[in-house]
Amino acid sequence: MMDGFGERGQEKLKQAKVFIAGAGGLGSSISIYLAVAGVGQIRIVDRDVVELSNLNRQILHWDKDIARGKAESAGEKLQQMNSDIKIEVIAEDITEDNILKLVGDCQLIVDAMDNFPTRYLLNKAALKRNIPLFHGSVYGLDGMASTIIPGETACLRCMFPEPPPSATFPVVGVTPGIIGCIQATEVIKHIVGIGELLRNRLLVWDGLSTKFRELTVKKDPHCQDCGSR
Amino acid sequence: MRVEVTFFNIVRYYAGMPGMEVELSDAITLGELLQEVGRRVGDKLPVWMWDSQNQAFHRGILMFVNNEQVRDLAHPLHDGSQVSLSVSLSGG
Ligand SMILES: [Zn+2]
Repeated sequence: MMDGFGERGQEKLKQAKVFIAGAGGLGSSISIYLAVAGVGQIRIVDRDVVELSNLNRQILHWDKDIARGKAESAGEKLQQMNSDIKIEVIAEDITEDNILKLVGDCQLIVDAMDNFPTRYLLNKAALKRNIPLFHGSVYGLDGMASTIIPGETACLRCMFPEPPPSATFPVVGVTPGIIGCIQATEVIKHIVGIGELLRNRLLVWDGLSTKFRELTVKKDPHCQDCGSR
Repeated sequence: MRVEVTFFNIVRYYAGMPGMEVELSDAITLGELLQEVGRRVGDKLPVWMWDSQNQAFHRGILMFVNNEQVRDLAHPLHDGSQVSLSVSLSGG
């Protein structure tokens, strides 16, 4: 027995429409759990092709998918996991010009990207549309997650005013599994309307010490993205 | 007074340690503590984290005092203050 979930919760999941930016490591675990949870419509955007080096963590893509588009590969697996839901795949770059069109009428955005310029675009789109953004990021055995509610919580830019340098990053395969599952948990709770979200809370996963820590983040009144909101 | 400093994620990887305790004779600000931390481990940190010429961390460093985000380097520290340093992570 779980208060607030039940049939009504399942119906809310069925009616939900979510946008997942990225079908890599985070995108794999997030989309798998949202698909099997019964989220009615999942739109997943990724323009990359599957490479051998992705297979240690991007569990939606298999050996046979190397050189195939990630969006197509992800769509095939997710649809086989749950044939009752609608999966839309888009093999496009996310840009300032197309992002609002890509997000369309989705009610929330999941940040499963691998670079900060695109993460900031997702942040701006979430602010503009006034819809939540579910952030997750990883490096090595470490990761972070937080849930951004426009107008209410710190935005991504308040939390992270400067991007780290763009470089290749080591990732141990389980890390995006852990962080992606936290993001998917947040999305399900938000849709169903239960529990407490990671509002103004940055959850920090320290895989080297096997510790979760929680840091309080604050809206920055001078934030270049949400400062006037 | 004594301040406990914790290094998260990439900062920890480069510093080669999970953190350090800093003993101080006088009360100091967060900015002054960071200069002391930089003097001790700055040579291990990449240039995008620690600016050795100006003896300062770059703006991308995320600072938390007693687990709360702080942006003001003039933030005062007290005996027993816990300072955490992190950076944003790219990977997905
Ligand atoms: Zn902001």
